Amino acid sequence: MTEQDGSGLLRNPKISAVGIQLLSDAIRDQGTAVADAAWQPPRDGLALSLSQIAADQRRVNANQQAVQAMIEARPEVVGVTTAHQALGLERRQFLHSGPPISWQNASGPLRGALVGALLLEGEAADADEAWQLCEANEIELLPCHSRGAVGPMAGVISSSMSLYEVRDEVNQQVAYSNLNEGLGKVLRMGAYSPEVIDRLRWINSRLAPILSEAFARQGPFDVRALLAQSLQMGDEGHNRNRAGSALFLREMSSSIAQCDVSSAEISQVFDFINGNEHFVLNMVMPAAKASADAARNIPGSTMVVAMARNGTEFGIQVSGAGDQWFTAPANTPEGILFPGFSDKDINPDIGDSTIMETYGIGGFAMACAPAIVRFVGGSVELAHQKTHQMYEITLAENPHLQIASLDFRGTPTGIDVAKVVSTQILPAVNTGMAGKEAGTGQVGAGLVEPPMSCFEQALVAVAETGDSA
Amino acid sequence: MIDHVELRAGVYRDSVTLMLLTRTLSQDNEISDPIVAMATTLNMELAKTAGYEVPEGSGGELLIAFRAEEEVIFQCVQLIDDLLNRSRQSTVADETLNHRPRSLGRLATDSQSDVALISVPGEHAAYQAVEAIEAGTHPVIFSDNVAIKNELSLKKQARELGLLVMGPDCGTVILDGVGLGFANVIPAGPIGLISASGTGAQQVLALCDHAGVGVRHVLGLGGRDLTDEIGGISAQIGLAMLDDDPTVEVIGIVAKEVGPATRLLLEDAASKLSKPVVWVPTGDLTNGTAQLLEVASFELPPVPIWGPAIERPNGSGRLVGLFSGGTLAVEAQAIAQASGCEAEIVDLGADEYTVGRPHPMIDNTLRLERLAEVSRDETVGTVLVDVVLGHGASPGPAAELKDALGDISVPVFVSLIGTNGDPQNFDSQVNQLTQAGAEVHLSNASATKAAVIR
Repeated sequence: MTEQDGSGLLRNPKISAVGIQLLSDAIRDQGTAVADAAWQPPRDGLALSLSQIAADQRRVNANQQAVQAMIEARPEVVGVTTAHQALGLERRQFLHSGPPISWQNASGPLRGALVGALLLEGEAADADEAWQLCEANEIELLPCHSRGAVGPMAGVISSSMSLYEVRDEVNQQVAYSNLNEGLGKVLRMGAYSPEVIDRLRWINSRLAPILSEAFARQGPFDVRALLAQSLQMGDEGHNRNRAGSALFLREMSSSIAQCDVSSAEISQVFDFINGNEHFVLNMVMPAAKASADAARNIPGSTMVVAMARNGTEFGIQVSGAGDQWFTAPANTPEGILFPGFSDKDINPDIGDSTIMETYGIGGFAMACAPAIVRFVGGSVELAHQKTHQMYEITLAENPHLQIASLDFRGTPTGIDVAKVVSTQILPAVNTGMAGKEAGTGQVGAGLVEPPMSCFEQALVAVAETGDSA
Repeated sequence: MIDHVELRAGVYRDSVTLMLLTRTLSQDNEISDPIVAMATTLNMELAKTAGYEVPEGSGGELLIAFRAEEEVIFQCVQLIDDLLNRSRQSTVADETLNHRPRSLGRLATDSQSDVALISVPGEHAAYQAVEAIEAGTHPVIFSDNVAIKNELSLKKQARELGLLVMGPDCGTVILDGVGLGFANVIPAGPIGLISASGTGAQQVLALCDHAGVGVRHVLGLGGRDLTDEIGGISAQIGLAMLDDDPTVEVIGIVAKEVGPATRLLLEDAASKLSKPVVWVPTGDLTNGTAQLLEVASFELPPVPIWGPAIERPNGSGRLVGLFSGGTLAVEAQAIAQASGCEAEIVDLGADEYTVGRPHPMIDNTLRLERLAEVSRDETVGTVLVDVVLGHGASPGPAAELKDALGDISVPVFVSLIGTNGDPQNFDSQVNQLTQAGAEVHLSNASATKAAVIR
């Protein structure tokens, strides 16, 4: 037993309260301050699961273990490989973002991306033929997460695609993502026109080998260190990667310039990276994935290890519930649209990029990136408020990723489904918006709310494992 | 008259606030059958039974239903809005409302709280308590209906961290003179209490105050802590804390339902402390308090009785006791039984009476109904009620009760549990009760002994 210390309790104690207002008022009547929680009861029936969680002896240590593993991960880009080489993907096997889904239930952007990927792989001569192959179930679909990968938006990864390989030596984890194509008409947003396929071919044949050589020269590229800097330069690491992409180019420029190709090609690579403010997204995503994967499968832990959307459903995975997905229909993001599009063009939420929020940045680090709030017409105050709220549903603060405007407080890290359900505060998610129709591409960017039901189901599932333990 | 029914999303108020608000509305002449409650299944059924057509909700909304003349509906809604907004007192935290945490754990951490008072409905209390414990805060769980499995797990977890869980079902706590829950105002002094009973502790406080002896701390344990299932985990921690506190000279244990193994354990723990420990059993709190004071080298003066020396009850009828304090009801029952008197003692604070209405220490509506029945019942020979004062209790219980008591023709005895410092004004409560014809005792044991029919 620890030494009982009543000193704080028995000398002028500071009081907080939750529940009956009259009791707090009775304390104030004595001239003593009380801080009241703005509590609201969770949905009927969930109190039992929260009580089970409260009595689960494993939970506190399990959650500490989970969140510390994620925080202490030190992911580095070690090189560029291909999906065939690294993941064994065959030509008609395709990875996609989010929880498992069939072609029949896939949304427009995912269908468009699959059509494009079939064209890239040379499995179809034109879009019609590709579409028919899909309709005839001639392709195999697998979630990126099931193969240690993540993909932004539609997240389609096919056999020949080049992938970043990200390794974390601390927890012995590895994760992959493809190379970012830029904005507008791009495969990940569901576009598959010839310019899209040509760009993907250029990435595979020219950009990837140059980056591969540059990484070999540079040595492992520390992604966590890059994020630590970019968060203090106005990025939040999900919807704003302007500073991170610039830092990447600055750090890598010498290693890239030394590649044994023409100066015209070097210049083309520099222009491509420089023209894409999300270039580094596809490195920070697998870095977050490798970090979060170290927190998987810890019995009793209520920490979220993946949040991902396939354009139809939003799904989460929780450490204490193995690889089970907890899904619900995806909401549609709200934000600003590119000229020529309207609200009815927006596809429901899509992409694995919510791995950034899972890792404690993106929407959680809004206070780093006040410029982001312009997507929703909000104020800088809103950005701070979002981050403050996220501290209510997370287990820890990441000392390696600090928020300058909050006096260098660590980012709110490790979403606890119990805290989400008990406070009814949903994770804040920043996201891009894809067009609903296959082939459209990106239509804007904004914010989106995950469905509460995913967190409620996950809570019930982990609570039930406690009973049998 | 027409029906006005609405469900408001995103508005939450606790049940006591809403019940008191509904009571205020029912006193308004323009409004009939008001219901302002959270839209739980139970409350929605209540509204349907009252004849309202209620729309489907998710359960999380606020239900507002009432009947009024069409031309005043708008005015009534405005009145309800005003009351709803008034019921949430402004606090320092309110000034930055946007950042006001919903999570008790976050709030306790951010405000560096030492103690967290938890009074959410019982099914939600265990999780809130765990959040408090993880934030390094001692929880006071006022809520009842917490599973004993949860109580045990909370207390074990807290013990690991050197924290004291007060409750569940902990009605009374005083920490360095500040009362949490139902607590009397008493100067600081040499006595420290740990207590398994809220009203039991309040009786001890009333008598200590009468003796001029101060009490600095009352650490509530909850009614089950001293059973062998819990094994006095909080009692042991509380004893150690009071022993360490240099201002405490004598420790009292207000005890009910003590398990045999737990009693041995606590007697052993008490024998190792540097300070004397006195057991105050709830079977006779007055006698126990006298012994506590004696060990502290004080004396309990004769317990005062106010009011007309009404005739002693004799022969006919039975004793009816209508109590707000559970422990006081049990004490009265034991004393009446020992004297062989036929008695019907009811604890109106028990769960079966408090579903959908505030505790009788906050609101006497139910007790007034029962008193009216008693006044018409010729088989009743004598009536006993308790009136508990202090923070958290009704601001004017005597005013609420005096007419009903005055209507009773048989002798009426009141146990008035309070101190001179209580916000209700002790003397004024005594005057109103005696003017209603009651004989008022500071001791519940004394009132019961007077009330029994010989």
